[in-house]
Amino acid sequence: MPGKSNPVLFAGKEMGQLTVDFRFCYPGGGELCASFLFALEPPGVLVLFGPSGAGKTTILRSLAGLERPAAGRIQFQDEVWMDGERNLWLPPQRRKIGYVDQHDALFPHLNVEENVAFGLHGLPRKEKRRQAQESMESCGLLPLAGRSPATLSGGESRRVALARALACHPRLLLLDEPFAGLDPRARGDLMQRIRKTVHERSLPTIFVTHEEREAVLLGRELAVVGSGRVLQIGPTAEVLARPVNREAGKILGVETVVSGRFLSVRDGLVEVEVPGGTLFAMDRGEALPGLVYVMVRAEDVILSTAEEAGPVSVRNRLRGLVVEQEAEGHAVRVLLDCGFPLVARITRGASQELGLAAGKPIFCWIKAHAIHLVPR
Amino acid sequence: MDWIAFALSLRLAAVTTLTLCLIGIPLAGWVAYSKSRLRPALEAVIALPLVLPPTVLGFFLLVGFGRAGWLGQWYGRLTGGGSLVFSFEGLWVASVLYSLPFLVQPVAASMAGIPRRLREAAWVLGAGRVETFVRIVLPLAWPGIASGIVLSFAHTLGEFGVVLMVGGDVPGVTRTLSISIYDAVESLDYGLAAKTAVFLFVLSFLLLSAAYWFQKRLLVR
Repeated sequence: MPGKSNPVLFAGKEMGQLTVDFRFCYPGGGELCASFLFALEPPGVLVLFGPSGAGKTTILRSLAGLERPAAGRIQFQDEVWMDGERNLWLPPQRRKIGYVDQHDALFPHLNVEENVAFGLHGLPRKEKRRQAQESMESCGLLPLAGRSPATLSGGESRRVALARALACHPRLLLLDEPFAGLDPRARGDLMQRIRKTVHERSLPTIFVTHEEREAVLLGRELAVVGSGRVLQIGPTAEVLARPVNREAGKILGVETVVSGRFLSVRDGLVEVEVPGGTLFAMDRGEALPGLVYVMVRAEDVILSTAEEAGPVSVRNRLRGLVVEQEAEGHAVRVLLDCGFPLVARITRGASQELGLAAGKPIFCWIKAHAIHLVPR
Repeated sequence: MDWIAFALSLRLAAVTTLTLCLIGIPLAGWVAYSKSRLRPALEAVIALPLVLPPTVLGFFLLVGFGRAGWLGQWYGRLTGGGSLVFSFEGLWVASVLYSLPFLVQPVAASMAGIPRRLREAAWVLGAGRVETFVRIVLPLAWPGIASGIVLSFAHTLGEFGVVLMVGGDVPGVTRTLSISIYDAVESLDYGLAAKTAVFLFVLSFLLLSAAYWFQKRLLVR
């Protein structure tokens, strides 16, 4: 249980990982429970993913020591950062981490170099300068050394904030929405730099985002944050393919989520009753209750005008009607009625070839592998 | 014009402002950032001189500073017979109390206007509370500090009621410029009173202009 020491979380193996298990009470009411492990070896990126207001930033700020949870425990390797039971709390100054705020928080009265050198304490002037220069160079900031933060572009000032955090040789890097408000070029550039930094400095990194693309490109692990808790954490691809429940599915952008009823397991296939018919999903050996949610990603739906095109491997062939189409760049999002609302995403060319229009009957094919079931 | 009185006014304003900087700036930091429940009460105490008639504060100080008052007794023991009543030191203490809001309020306001994330960034970078105050808060609050310094200096220069109550009218010791105007009017020397009044008027105007100029800097940034 969050807020109390969890015997499963704290059974040995505390070295080489960040252990988080706390309960945070918001001043205006409401609670956030965060409970997860993050392996620090080998160093990788953990993405805290979720809608705005879910509590991602609060989790990050609690790790930085800028917020103090009401109860629970945070432990970095063998160092306790917070322990509610023993009333232990390590202030941010002593956590030796890098933290980049969503607004960069550059000191407006200091120039770029002075900003980067701010956290270099107790060093001779020369050494301080050398380290600041080194950090600026790694972020491509040397030409901007004497500039005032007010004169920098969004991408530049984000890089200064990153260089300032890295100059202190942090043990953990925390980034709050690092790509928000940047143009695509600056975004790509920063993404490259962060990836390189994590790799070259062996620096475990946690970042907050609500953009699925950023999560997929950078995250080794993905934690889904929603309605005041961490709903799911795991390798990015696995989490995206297999949301643990309906809410995680919604947050991860699974287009079709429909209620179903478990019928049987036969020949490695699970049969599920849904409005308007039955669906077959791969049996993954998980025990399922009678009531389930069926999740299908729009990319996994194939549309066809022919009912049979000779023998086909696909297990689910549904009759549907096109309800509406919506252009999404080069793709088209098609909303269908198959007894339940089903969303497909196909190319614009395919849409034209099939002559899709509202009211047109169509066959929808879904592989058994692409159907994900979670308990209702 | 009574140049001795002018010199005395300047000296009083200078030592008062200096003392206020030492006490008032840390106090302003506390007012701006404390989450203590005592904060509204302390803010009210600091602001009291703004609304109280100078005679009320002057009366309390006169009683407290007197031979019978505990402050007066304590000061007498400490200095071997010194007195806070009708002395420059007494004026000094009284002026510090009386001008406190003129320094603390603009300084606290400019400190409160500094985004919290800047202080947080400093903490995460390893700077303690004092280092953050010195390296981040003070430089960013300087327009408020400058404006507070000028305001409290000007206010002390023009102070009358409290000075008269606590200091009386001892030439060279407690007779400040504002008191010398009162003296001149009492002895029907309107010419001298007019000269001194115009002088103080112009000086105060210039000082206030400077204060507002600093405050504008604060807004522009």
